[in-house]
Amino acid sequence: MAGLINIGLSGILGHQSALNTTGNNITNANTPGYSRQQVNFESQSGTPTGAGTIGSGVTITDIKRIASDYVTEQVRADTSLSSEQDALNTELSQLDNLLGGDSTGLNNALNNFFASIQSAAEDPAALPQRQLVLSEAQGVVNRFQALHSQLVQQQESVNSQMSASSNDVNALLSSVADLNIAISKSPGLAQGKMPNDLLDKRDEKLRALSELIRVRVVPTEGSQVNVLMGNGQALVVGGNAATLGTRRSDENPARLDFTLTNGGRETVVTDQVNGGKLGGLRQFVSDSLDPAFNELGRVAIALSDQMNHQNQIGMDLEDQLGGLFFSDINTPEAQLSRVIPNAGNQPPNNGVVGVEITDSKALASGSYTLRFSGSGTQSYELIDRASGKTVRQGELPDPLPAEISMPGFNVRIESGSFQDGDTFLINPTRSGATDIGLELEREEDLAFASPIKAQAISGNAGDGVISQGTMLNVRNPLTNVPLSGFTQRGELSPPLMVRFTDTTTYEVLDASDPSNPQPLAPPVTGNFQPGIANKLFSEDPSDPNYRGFQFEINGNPQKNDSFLIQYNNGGISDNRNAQILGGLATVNTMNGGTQSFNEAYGGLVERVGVQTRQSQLDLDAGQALLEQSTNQREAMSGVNLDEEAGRLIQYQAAYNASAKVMSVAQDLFNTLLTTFR
Amino acid sequence: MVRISSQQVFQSGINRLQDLNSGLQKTQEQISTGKRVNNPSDDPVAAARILKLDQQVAQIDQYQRNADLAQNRLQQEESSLNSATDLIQRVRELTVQAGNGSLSADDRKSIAAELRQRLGQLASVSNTRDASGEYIFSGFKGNTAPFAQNISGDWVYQGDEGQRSLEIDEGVKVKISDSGKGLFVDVPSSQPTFFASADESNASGGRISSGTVLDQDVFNGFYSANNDDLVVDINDDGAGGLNYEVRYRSDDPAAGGYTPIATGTYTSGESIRVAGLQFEISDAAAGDHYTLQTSDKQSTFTTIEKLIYGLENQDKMPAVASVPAASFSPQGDDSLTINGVTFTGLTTTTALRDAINGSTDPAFDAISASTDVSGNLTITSLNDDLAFSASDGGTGGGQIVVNGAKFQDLDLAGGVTSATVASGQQAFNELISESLKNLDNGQESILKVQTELGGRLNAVDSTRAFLEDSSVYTKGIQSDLRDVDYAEAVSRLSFQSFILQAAQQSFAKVSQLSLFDRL
Repeated sequence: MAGLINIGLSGILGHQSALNTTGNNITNANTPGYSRQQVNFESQSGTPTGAGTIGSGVTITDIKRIASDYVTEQVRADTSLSSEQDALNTELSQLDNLLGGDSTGLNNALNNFFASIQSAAEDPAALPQRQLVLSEAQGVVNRFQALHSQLVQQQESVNSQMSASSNDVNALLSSVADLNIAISKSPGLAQGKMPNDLLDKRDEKLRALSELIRVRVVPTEGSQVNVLMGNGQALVVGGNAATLGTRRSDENPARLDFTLTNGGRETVVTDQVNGGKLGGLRQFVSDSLDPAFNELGRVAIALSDQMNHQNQIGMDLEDQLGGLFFSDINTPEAQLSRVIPNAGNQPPNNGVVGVEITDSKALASGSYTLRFSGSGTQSYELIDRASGKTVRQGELPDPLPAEISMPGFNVRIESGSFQDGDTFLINPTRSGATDIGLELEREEDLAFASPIKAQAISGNAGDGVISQGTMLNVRNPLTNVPLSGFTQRGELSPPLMVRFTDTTTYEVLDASDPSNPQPLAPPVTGNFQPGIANKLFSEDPSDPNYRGFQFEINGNPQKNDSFLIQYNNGGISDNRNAQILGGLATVNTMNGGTQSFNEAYGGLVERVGVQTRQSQLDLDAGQALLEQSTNQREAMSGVNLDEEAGRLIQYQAAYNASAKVMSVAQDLFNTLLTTFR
Repeated sequence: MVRISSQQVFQSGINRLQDLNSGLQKTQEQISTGKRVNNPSDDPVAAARILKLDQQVAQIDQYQRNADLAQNRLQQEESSLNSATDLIQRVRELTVQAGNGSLSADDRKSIAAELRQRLGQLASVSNTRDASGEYIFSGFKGNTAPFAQNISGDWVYQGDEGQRSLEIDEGVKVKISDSGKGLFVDVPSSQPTFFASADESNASGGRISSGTVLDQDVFNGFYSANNDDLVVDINDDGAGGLNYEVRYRSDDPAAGGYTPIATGTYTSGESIRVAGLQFEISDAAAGDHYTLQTSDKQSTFTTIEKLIYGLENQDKMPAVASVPAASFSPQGDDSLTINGVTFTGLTTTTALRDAINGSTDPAFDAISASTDVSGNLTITSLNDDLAFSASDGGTGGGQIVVNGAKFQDLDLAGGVTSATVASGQQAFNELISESLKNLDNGQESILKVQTELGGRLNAVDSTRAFLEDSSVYTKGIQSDLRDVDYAEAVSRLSFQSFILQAAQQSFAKVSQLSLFDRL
């Protein structure tokens, strides 16, 4: 009887535990990371009798947590992937909206600017039209600078997200370490009694960690886990958590580097931070934000350079050669601002390195690292950061300066001493969009006219016609020295006369005194082919006959026919230069002559658009994968309330039955007692 | 059997509903903005093309505005040129009227007065300004009146040869102005002429008169032999006075090695005669240069000015030549030719007189000769000029002198063998006929530009039509790329909302199912 009571009692206690477990399952149905638990019943060993073994009730061997390490691992991996894409997509969408927006993008401002010049070309002396050009130009400058500062803001926002997230990472790492200790100390571990709730908590912390960074989880002794970064750097070893930190990068102060501090030793681990939100942010900066800076800057530099050049070879409303339209792209400050010395360079760290833009047409939008090596004779190499390849290398001359010539720009090593391993970050175009400024202040300074003109002398007997001329330059592009013809303000020195000595030959004379034209020194003569357009002067800067302009003579001039080439004094109605300025809207002046300003900017928009779209697709795929693996986990570990309801009924019934067993045992006992009364 | 957790039922239900919601929202955005591509990432390739097309549309708009502006300018120019042609036509009529032989000197003067009016009008037409106050015929020098009167009161061109053009389509430039030089100045002249001007570099402020061709025959001979321009240099003669020296422009006074065409003592305001030309230089100083551009072109203004000068000053006097008896001592074999008729062997003026009066040559119909008491011979021609030429038959010592020539008197012993004595009537007739020719040339050079204007206006019109087409076409492509297909989008919207509704209903149903409800 006592046996029966004990049997019934074991049933009651066992099913009470089962009911408790089911109840726990039901109440934790919505707890993140909770794995359903299951009670394992086992019959207690019986009492052997002659007739056989009589069972002695039920016992609970284990409350099992239904979970699979493999599935958990899969969820973590998919979480890292999906969070990475989510962070990337969020940032990219912002950039995409910024660059492509009608009001925020550059192309409307550019279109309006060039349209205003083309309108002004119709009436080049009208001040209101010129005023409009200036305000539209200011609009373009504002747009560039606003875009640049938005990019800077986004960089800062990414940086603050990075440092906030690394704090989150640290909190999670120390939780995992604490849980490791708690788990290893949990009683009954040696007997295989797992601390189910602690395991769930640790798995959930690890999953949350995977949202921020991709980690590898390695089980170790005492049911602890070690957490490693991609290449094996330990984040958590047993009960010991390292600290992830951020600090301004030595190489590029705009960016953050990740550091890992463990036992007082700090290591830079930036390259190992992959996956998760942190990995997504890092990818955004290097694949999208930095190229956007560079590309936007490149458009700004090309626009400044081309407009400056064209305005400088024109003539303003007051008979002066035009000045700078936008700010000079090669001021000493601008040259130096394109190079950032590594903060970790060896002392004295006094190298002065600048970048001079030599040809905005050929300029590409890359970034480079200049690395010095060796002591004594210093050698340098210039490494393209996108491809990692060395594009230029050589030895530093003594004494400096040295110039490293690249397509579109020169790296100028001016002075200072360089130590083995010193590096410099070369960003030829990154600051272009913030360096741009409007130099022209007065409407009159817009150089809409061309400084040269020509006319036939009335006494000419032949029917020769001279063109009004094309300006090429006011400086020799090879030496950057002003051409002698344009050294005097407001005049062509000397004015020239082309006089035909024959129907097929001409001489070019100094017409300072038109009644007594003198041969030039050295004398210039040329041959003329009647009936076709004959070009006067050379367009090749190395030719001594290069004067920065060209004219054409057509028709059949007679002997002694003369043509005067003069400064365009009073030429306020001349719109030749305005047309060329306005025409720059569609001329392919970038990328080696294959892109216009608008196309180059469109290329940036397209590139970011493609990246955004790609990240959207990746995000969708990542989320689908995550959902799949989450489903897999849920299918195994998740709580199904219907199931638990069933169990509840099942265990309740067994509980009731066990109670009945005890009641029967009592009845039996009572029967026995009354029998002997 | 796949096990499903309760969380999964809710989570996946909620996920699906969110997917559907975001899809619906996207469609709704497309419909409300009318755009299929709202962000570049919606269709990156299309977005880049849309940017390019935006620029093209803006460019086409600009070209269309330019075409309108070009048309305005060309029409303004056309109407100015029409007025100019009308004025020249009126001048021509007046010229024909002035040629009428029965007019008195007063009549001619009153015609000259009207011509002055017309000349002023022509100047004001050629000085037309555009809406922003720039002169339309002065080339690049929009602030400089193309025609202004110089010190001597002649209308001269002050602009340049600049011609403004405007781009009305990619690479299509239309010229929207013409310089007054081509229209009014570089007009072919019926006879070679010249244009005198002081060099800009002169320090003295000395002036040169516009001058006249005194003897067209002499000048024509000079011009056809050499079309180089002439330069008058004023030099210090080393004795406190000034010399003038006339040379070709191509001769270099610094280098020397050439023979001046003429030299003389300079006196301010006194006529200088060279190569059939006559002009005056006033207030010159040493080192001055004055250029005489010899040319077969003459400005329409100058044509009218010369005509006015002729009407006011040209008397219809007969040509009167005098042969002084004292210097008429030809040898027997010397000959004198008058208007193509040669007289030989006449050694006295009376014999020559009788020969002239007795000649039956039709050239001598209006020519008569008379002698005074001293035997001085006077030859009078009522209509034509008297052209003399003398030749020495070989016997030395003979002399014939004819005075009264317009450029240089005949002096056989002095080596001058020909001379022309001007008849006012012939000069006047020539003036009228040359003026008519030059006015016709003037009209023609305007007409040439007017024809060109018509061509340019046509080009503007056809370009505008083309621009409209390409605008429609470009906007069409842009719309195809960017704009939403409403029919498709609306049916997508209703389909999506149908699915969302179904999902909502089924989710509500499924989520209500619970065994606990039955307990």
